[in-house]
Amino acid sequence: MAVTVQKHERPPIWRNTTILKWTAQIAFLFGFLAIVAVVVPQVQDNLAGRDITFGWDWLTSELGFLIREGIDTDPATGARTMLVGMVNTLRVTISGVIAATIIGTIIGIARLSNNWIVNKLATVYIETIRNVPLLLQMFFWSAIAGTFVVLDPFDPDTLEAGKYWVAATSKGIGLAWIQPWGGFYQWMIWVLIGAVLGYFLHRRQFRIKEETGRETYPNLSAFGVILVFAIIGWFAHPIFGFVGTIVEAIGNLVGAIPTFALQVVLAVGAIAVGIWWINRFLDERRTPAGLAKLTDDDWFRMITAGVVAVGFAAFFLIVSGFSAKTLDVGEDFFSRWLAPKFDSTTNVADITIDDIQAQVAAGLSLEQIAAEQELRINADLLGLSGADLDAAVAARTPAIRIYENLPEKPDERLTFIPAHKLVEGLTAGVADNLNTLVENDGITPTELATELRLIQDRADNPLRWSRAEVQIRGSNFLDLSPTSGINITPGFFAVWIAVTLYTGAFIAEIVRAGILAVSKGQTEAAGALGLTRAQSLRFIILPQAFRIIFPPLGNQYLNLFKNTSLGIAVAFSEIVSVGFTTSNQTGQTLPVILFWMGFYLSGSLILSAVVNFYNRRLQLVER
Amino acid sequence: MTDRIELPEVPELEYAPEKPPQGPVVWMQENLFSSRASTLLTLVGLFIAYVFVKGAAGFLFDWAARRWDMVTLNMRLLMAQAYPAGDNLQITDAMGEPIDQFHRIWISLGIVVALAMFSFVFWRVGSRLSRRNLARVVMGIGGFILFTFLGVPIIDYALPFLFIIGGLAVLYIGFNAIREALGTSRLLGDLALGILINLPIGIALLVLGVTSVDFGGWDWQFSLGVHFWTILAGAVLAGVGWLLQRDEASKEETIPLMGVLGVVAAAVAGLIWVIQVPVPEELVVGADKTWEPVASSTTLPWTIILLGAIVVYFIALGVRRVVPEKTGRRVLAGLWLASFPFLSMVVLRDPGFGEQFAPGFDLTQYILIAVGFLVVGGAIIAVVAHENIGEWLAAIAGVIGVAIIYTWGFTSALFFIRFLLVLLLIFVLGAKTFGSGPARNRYLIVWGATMVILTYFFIIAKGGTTVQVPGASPFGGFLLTLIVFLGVTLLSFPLGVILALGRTSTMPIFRLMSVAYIEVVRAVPLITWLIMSIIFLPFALPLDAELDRILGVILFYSGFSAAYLAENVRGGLQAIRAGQKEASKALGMTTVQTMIFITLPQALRTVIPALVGGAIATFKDTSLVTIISLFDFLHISRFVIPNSTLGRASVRTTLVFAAAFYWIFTFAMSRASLRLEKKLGVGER
Repeated sequence: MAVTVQKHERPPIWRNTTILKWTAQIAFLFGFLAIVAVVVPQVQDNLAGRDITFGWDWLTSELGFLIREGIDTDPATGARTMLVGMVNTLRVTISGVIAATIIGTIIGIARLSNNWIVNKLATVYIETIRNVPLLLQMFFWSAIAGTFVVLDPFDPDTLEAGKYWVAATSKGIGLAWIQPWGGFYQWMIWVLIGAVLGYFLHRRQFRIKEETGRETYPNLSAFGVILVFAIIGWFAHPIFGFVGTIVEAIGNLVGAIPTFALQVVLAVGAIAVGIWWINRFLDERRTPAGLAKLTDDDWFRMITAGVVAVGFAAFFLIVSGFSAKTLDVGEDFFSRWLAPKFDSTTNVADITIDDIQAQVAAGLSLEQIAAEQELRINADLLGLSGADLDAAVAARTPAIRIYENLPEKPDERLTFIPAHKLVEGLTAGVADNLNTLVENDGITPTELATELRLIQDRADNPLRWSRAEVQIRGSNFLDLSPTSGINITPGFFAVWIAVTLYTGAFIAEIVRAGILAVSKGQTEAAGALGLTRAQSLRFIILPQAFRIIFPPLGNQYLNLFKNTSLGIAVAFSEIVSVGFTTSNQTGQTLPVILFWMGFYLSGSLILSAVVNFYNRRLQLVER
Repeated sequence: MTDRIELPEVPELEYAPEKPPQGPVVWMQENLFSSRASTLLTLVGLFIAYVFVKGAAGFLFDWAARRWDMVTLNMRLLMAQAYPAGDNLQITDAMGEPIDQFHRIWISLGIVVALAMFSFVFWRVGSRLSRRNLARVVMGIGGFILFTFLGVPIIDYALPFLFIIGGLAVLYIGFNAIREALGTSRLLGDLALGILINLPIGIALLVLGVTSVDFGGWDWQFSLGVHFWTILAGAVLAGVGWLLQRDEASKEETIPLMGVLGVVAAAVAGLIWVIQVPVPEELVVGADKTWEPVASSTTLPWTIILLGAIVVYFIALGVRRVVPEKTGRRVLAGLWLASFPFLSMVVLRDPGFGEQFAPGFDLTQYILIAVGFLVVGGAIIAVVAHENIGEWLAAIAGVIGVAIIYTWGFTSALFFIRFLLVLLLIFVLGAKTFGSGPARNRYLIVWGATMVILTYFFIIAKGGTTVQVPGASPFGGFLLTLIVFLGVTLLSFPLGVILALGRTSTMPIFRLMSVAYIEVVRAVPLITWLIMSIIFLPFALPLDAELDRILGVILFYSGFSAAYLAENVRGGLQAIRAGQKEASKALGMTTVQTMIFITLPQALRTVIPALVGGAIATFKDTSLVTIISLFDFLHISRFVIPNSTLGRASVRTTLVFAAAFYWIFTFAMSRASLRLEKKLGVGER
């Protein structure tokens, strides 16, 4: 039998699919680049026409506008301004995520309740919140917050200055709050040790429970261990005062690393990651029969990965500023930020009423006493050597003068002091404040001493209870003291409650769908085993539902993160709002937009990486 | 030899007998008080409902503080901002007479309603409601009124007693837990629960209850005196509803939904002439009258539109007998697509011709270019659509491509010409797929129609508008919200589909660019893109070029929305089984043909619910243009009205109204999407 074999003919070049594909792609890429090449000079021309040059100088120069709230309301540089905005965004995001998860879970379960009224209430909540624009809800809460006047929930008619558990004025909501105090960081070491031990205890108890069926209370015992360590640490925390020295040594070590070393390490790391990726990629295409034929797409991927890795390596090697800055930030973090937090006992002025009275009798003014005490506390942080301080104190130089002669503006550094808020009244303008205190408010030396005792307290207790303080400004204008309790500004309140309720409604639907997706047999089997409804929900349904709920939940968290950007509409100083003001002040629109993109992109990528990581751990391993 | 398989007799399916209708007592036992925990939940739920209804009713019916008059007074502002109507603006013509253009809004609304009615008929929207369901709705409304005006005052009165009962119950449970825990000396958790949680809560409730008991609490006469007629109406509604749904027959007897809607429409058309709306006291001269009937400039058009809708519905029913359903649907889909540009650019914008053109604009030149392209382009397309064209198609496309690169990159030819060249290239490339063989004539007609329409729009875009308003744009209020929403939905769809195809493509550069675009756009919040469209877009355009702000926003928003849409469509594309592609390959289809006729239609069908969800999100998020100072619906209700002289302290009232207005639309859309999902049977295969 004759077999006719058609001779394989190569198609003409304009019919070769590989060539056609790549021609089209490269043509498209060139078209795209051509558009970019047209637009970029256009933008430059336009900017030049308005006397603006694209640049990042604004990051290091002072912008000169105040921010309503955040870790620093009068930031010294543009970079710090953006940092305040970022921290505000993260604050509202994290608290919103926690609250929305709780609300969403409760409503989602309520939505499935057999109880008619609970079921209907949950439905009404979801359908109302979900179908109204988020921005409108934010406006609504903001309008509500503008009308708050409740100082004392038990006596709503009170309108007096003073300290309150809850105080809601049109300037915001003040709540009593537990503030970290002097010994907080030492105490946290104890708690951490307790947590680690508790974790291992929990594992052990749980194993025993699973193996023998004996009730070993794993949760309770782990919690107990942490509690015991927290209680011991409450009294014994000064033991860890030495940690500060170690941390400082680490900081110095980081500072001693030559920039070039880090550059090389980073570059080598980038190359290594590239090689690892390509290797893994090839492994995936390797079958028992050998390496599968690589398509042009595969080659493209590998080459791209290689080029990107080399590009990063080149970046690290050429731009030494990046590594230098990284090392700088690392050193600052350890030496300037973390180390002083463990230093409470060494620098605290130990002063008693008798001392003060003695000094007053010796002819020292109150302002000099207070300034001296305060200087002793802050000397280290201000970069003063002990000898300088002693000399200054001996010369009875007024504190304000010492501040002025410092190499750096003290306020910048003072923002790193955890308890600075408490002495802020003394720090900002020592002389002025004390004079006011003594002359206008008639404060006595005894009271001042008590005030100063507070400073000593911070060495003693890890935490401190602080109530919201209402002040009266002008004739009848209620304001919240920034230093007591915790203050929630109307903007924060509006954004937080709006995103929480909004995301909560979506999470509720996800939770409901997740629970419904668990097969009905599971519930019935749990019932057959004699578990109660609550038990079957807790041990059978929810753990399985969680696996289904988790990925969409991560999406909702991302949405919440992005939705906080609406804060610009209700005067909440998050990143978009702060950036918008910055771009108006400096005209640097494009850099600010790039900054936003960088921030949100990295935030989204980190969050989705975390979600993906846990999702992979949660998935049932099949096959 | 064959084995005969004896099939077992299939028994008749026996369904469990329907439960006989039960009285409300049994229902409550089952749904509210089935167990001790359920009873507790009911009480707590009742308390929450009481708090909310009391708060909401106190908020809504607080006539002194709520400025509903600001809503009714500014209704036209909310809907169409400053669109010129004879009486609300000082825009005058040459003779000094005020120009009234408001009929354009009514005409647009009328066209949309008529199209909707035809669509209802041709897509057979509207099922039949059982009498029972309808009655239950009536009963629910009545029950809600009763709860608001009678239940809330009663709970108000009885609350201390409820607290006392609740406190005693909690204490009882707590003591039980403690006793059990002590008895078994093992349940540490129960002991803690009893001591730490139940005791304090119980005692607190008791104290709260005892201290607030007020035996003279409920003012019967006041509550009944003020709300007597409302309570009576609620009771009648609830009673009628309950009676109607009682009998078994009510489940079978059905009423068409459209009939109910028709009756409602007719009722509204009548009611609008009778009803009175609040007017700000400052505007009422002399008398203390603060309620006025609706102005006839509103009632008349609404009556015509509502009654017209009913008439059109019946006309459409007649048309359906003559026109085949499929043709009708296609025509309607085309009309819907065309209606948006037609209404927004032609009817509402009323393009002016003649002296209103921009300086340097030559109408004859445009028309000559268009005719030239129509003829020459048509000839080219006719040639390339020929079956034996072979490689020549690529050659002709290449020539046009070179012409495009030349005109775009190296000349300053009219934008119109450059644009038409690109259009021609698209038509030439599509000729083989869509226009070969018998489809050629149709393809040529499409080319001609596209040319004529595009030329018309190019010309009117160069012309001015006769709709003169004080602001930059004649569009504002809810009209702007709708225009942004529809514009974004229409524009983002093709872009999103292209991105999805790019992302699932095997061509790495396309895929990489699509992935980068989608991920970057999705990672950054919408508001930054909108800010970019107003503060950065002007920089990217030539200094003398001006782009309408609304258009800029629509473009950027579409780009944003497309990235989300692309992810949805990608889900649909990935859900298609490989067999479909292989089969179409076996049939000899090209890649493009497979994509357009096989994969895309299936993928889109699967993701329709997700697309509707995306559209709802788009609708809600159009409100973000408020932040960049476009006068949309939310901007007017949040800033314009409360900042006006009369409207001080009305911000919460207008916001509640806006919320209700948005809610109606989004809720309707989400319900429609649910029905669509069921109808398509998505996810049931």
